[in-house]
Amino acid sequence: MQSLLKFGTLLAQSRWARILPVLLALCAWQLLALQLQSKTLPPPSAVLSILWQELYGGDLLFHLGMTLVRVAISFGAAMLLGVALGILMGHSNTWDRLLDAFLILALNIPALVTIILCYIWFGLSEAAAVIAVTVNKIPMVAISLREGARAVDKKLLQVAQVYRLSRRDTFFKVYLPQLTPYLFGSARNGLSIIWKIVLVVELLGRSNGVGFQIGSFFHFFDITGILAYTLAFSLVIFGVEALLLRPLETHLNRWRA
Amino acid sequence: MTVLSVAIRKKIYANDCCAIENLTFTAQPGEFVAIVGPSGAGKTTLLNLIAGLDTEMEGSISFHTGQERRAHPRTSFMFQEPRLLPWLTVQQNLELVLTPQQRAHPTTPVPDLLAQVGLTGCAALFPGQLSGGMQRRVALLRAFIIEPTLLLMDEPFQSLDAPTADQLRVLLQGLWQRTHPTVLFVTHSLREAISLADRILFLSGQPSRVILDLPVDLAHPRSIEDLSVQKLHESLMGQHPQLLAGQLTPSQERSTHARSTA
Repeated sequence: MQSLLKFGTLLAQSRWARILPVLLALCAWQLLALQLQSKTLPPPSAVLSILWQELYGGDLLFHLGMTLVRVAISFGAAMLLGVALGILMGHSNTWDRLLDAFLILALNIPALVTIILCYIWFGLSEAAAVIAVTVNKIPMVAISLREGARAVDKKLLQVAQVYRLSRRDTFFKVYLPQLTPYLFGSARNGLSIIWKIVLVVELLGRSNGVGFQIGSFFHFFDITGILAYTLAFSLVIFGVEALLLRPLETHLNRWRA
Repeated sequence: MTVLSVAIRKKIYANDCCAIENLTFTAQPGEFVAIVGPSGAGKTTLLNLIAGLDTEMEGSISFHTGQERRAHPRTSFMFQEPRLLPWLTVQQNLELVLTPQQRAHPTTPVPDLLAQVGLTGCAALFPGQLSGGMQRRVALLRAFIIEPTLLLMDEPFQSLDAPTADQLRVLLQGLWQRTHPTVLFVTHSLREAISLADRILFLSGQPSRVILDLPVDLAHPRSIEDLSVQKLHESLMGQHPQLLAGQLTPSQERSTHARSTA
């Protein structure tokens, strides 16, 4: 028993700690699927082989690319505008009071409503799709950054004022670093929400992208295809997290060590 | 050389409480002025007003050269806490307050300056990796690195152990004698004030004004343990037992300008 516990701790510390639970879940899924032999639950091996086929023979890369471009543009726009709005509202009570009702409203309008309205007003275009996604995400970023801006340490801003730092230095070296945790919070949230909304946008009014593909798979009840596309996108998100977000965060937080 | 003239008629806090009333003094160029008063006497408020961090008051704070009025001079402020930026290294913290020209062509490289205050090899460390005393050294260096005309210090060595505070006072006197900025040094320790200042202003309780303006004619540099410092402290406390509570003895109130006898 004790040696088992010891093995457990060793395991938790090693790099297998992240991978092993996933492998175990995959094995369980495979066994269950083989047992049930149901059309609605394909085994992971089938999903992987479809993913492989789509990757090499099919259009997966094209559709994935289209979706990623939409995600990137709306993510960038939503973060930029949301951060600006959040800082404005966290910084100034007047603006906070003026815009608060709109923010609450925007936060609670269903994504579907914004998407449909955008398509009706701006036509079934690329711009309409991106605007719909961006508008959905801005209030979430703003809410979180507003909290961050309210928590900014006035004492450090006094330092900047006394020593007459330039506006640029004050913003980038004194103000913005205090918002880092809020920025990363919204970036992670943002990525996950935005790709979900992008898929709906694509399903409703675009003729390419992962959302469009999942729509067509749905018509043919092709569950394996749906799962293969989901898996492809999940792998991309893991990549972004491991290669971009986590290293950047570690770098920016090295002073906390 | 710039003379600082402070004439505050009234400063009222947000809660309608009158902090300062009819507080007037001038500080000569290069003069080290200590400001001593009971806690809550508006000492920090006074420094914030002089630094321009707070602008709401009746009265005037002005800077002159001869008859000519000057713009706000180059000012440093050492706060009660070190207030370094925790995400910047020691070197980046110091370079942050320099002008772009100074940053590009420093008169003395930052690592050399750090060595002068006993922080050799600390340039690449973050403030969180330093002890409290070391953080104050960096804050002190930051205050002097811009070669200020006016240096405001708000109980900067508070909450340090006695030996560390002593070392920092020695360091402060050394740096001050090199560039001679005008210093306003707020403290609640009379011994500390006597050991550093050319002149001590005693403030009353709220609303605060100057109740005693005392020149200290002792040679620099001094230490808090010096006999002359101790003697002046004793004689002052004998003359005005209530001085640190913000009162001259009732009968003697307003008979100002008692001269030092030490």
